[in-house]
Amino acid sequence: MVDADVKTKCFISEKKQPYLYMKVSLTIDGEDVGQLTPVQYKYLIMQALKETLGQIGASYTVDLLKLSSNGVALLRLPRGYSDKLWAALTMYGATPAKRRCAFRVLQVSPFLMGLVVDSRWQQ
Amino acid sequence: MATSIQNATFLFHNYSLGERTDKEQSVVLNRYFNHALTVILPGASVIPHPVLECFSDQLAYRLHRLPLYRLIEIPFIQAFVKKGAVHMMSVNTKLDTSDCVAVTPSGCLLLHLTKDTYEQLGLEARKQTYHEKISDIYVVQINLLADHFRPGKKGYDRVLWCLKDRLDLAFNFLVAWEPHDDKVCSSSLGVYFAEKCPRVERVAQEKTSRVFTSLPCPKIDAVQPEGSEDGCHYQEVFEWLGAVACGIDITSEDTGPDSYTSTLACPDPKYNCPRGCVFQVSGFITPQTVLKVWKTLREYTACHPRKLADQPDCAWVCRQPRHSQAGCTQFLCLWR
Repeated sequence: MVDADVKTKCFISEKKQPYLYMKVSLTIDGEDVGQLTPVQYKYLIMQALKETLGQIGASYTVDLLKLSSNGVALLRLPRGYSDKLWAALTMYGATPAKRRCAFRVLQVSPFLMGLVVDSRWQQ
Repeated sequence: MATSIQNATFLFHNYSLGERTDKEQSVVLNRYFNHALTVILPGASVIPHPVLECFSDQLAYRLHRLPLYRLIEIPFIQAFVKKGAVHMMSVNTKLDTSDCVAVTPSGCLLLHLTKDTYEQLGLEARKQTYHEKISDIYVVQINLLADHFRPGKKGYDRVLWCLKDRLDLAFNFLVAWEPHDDKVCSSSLGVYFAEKCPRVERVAQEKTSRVFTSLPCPKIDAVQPEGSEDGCHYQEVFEWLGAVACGIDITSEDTGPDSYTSTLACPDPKYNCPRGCVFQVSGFITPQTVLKVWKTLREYTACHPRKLADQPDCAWVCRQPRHSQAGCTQFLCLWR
């Protein structure tokens, strides 16, 4: 459909995007992570932030966009704090029930569209 | 890695479909190596058959441990590089930590080398860019189509000696060939390489499609893409497209501004789309195939103007060569 009112325009966004999207995988020693509900998963993320960054860290908004059955989740982090939050997630080592656990970052992108596929698929 | 990811720019062109067709073609054709293509069609319950047909004659091969000097042999250059568009890229090679090789449709052999390999190889690199300099990367560019690039000439003999005798480099490759002559089958490239490397296998395309029902869709105002009362901001629309493509459920009660797990929601203003479909192909896709899909979708929108009068038809194409800026190199086309 040709729209006569549309004028050619070009927009360039700022270099800093508002969010950083992240695909993470959670493993817990001796526990099936597929059983976790989104609320439990988010609780573990908040525990990770609180452990490393304290109450201030737990106040950052981290969105759990999608949780797959194998413990892989899509997260949305505010860009300004993404480095700290990334570090806090990877440093988290034990759940409140004293089970060993680890968040592994699989993929990151400033756009959600970037996480649709992983091109490093040819193993 | 984190720095480059955070400095990603979003470039948005807004223009009428009645103009600048050459511009959009060049955008597609200049992206040589495509990994996946996603088509999102709000309002359609199945993917149009002409779109599926675009992928039927696309052939891609995976070559195992192909010695690099095979790429500068005269039979390969004469039969394939000069008579078609060769898309060839090494796989399982990470751009920032290991050597990568590519042959572009413009007939250029690119060696993206780490410092160690570069110093052992003995070929001259082009001038380093700032990013190449800080990550110690050297890029050797060889024009396979140059008149002087033939046996008996100093340059050719030197390159052959370096690649064959000095360092016996071999890589796994993904390759696709689009011949200039329509009568020639693109499978002849696979037959040619069958004798040159231990194993050649066809890369299968993975096609998935998903149907969604009753989904909130953002309204698009083509005259004011930066957001207005009648339309959402283009970056919000892009995020929504990403959410649909990733299969994120933004309709459930668990998401919303006050939710504990996720505050992602469809941007306002919005309308309810009764049905739609998401179609995704992954494999090794040539720009010509992408262009075919692009043109087919344009015809499709033109064929159904009434149905699509207030529903956005969206298609995006992702290109993610192995690069530290994962997810930053992609492009999108949105029709309204």
